Amino acid sequence: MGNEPLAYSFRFGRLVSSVAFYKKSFSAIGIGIVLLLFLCGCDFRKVVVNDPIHPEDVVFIKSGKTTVQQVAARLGAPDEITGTSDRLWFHYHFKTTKILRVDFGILLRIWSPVVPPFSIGRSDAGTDVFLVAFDSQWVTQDLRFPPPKETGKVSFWPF
Amino acid sequence: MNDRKFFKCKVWLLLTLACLCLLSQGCVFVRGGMGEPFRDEDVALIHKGSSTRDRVALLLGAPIEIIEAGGYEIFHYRRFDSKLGYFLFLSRLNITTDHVYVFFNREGVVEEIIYGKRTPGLQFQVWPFGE
Repeated sequence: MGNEPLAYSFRFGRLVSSVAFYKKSFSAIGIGIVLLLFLCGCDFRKVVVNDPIHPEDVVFIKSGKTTVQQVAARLGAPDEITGTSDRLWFHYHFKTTKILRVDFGILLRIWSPVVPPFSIGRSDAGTDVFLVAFDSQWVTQDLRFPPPKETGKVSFWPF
Repeated sequence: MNDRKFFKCKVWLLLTLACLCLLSQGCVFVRGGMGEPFRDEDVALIHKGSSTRDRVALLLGAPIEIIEAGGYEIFHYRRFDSKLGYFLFLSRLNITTDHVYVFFNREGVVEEIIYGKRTPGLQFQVWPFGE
């Protein structure tokens, strides 16, 4: 039989081997609860403003050929329009922000009615703008894609 | 471990789980927006070469801004939509915008309309990792 868990013995009550089993189970549950409690103080957040535009999404735009309506049909209306007397620039903004925060103060909530925040966190924000220029005939003249951005791993350690 | 002790452990376990449930942020789904959604029928009623500023203002209301660019006067209409999904400690907020640009020539007649809807593709998402 060894350490195999036994449910119950009607004659002798709970057996020694089952006590060991329950001890193990409670330890596992205890560790799980501590981990869960720690996770409750964590905050993994992502904020996405507009779908990101990748270089492969704009290969259809050819200078001197693609019209403003074709661009708008694929990418939607721009977020901003600027221009000079003979040229219009369409600005497509997109942004992704990742935030990771850990609040150690959550552990105090169990015992204390006053919970001062003990948070550390870090965010990684990036704003990109894709630019398309059109001439007075509404035909694409120029494209400007942002340089590729390094997307590092997000950590909660701010120092 | 006798039954009494075992029962005590069970009670403590349940209490701890209840505390955890109270401490966690739970599950939240929130939608926020700014501005009225554009109706395709209204935009379709704006015709290039014939619709005037008054007609456009009647259909879409006053623009949020008027831009001067490329020799045009441009009426800009904007609408924001956002969806937040929050589950325990994971959250994701997606924000997107719809825009309508109406270009008027020097005579005040519509020369071009740029209209694009991005909000219908907006989703409630919770998973913050990856794309």
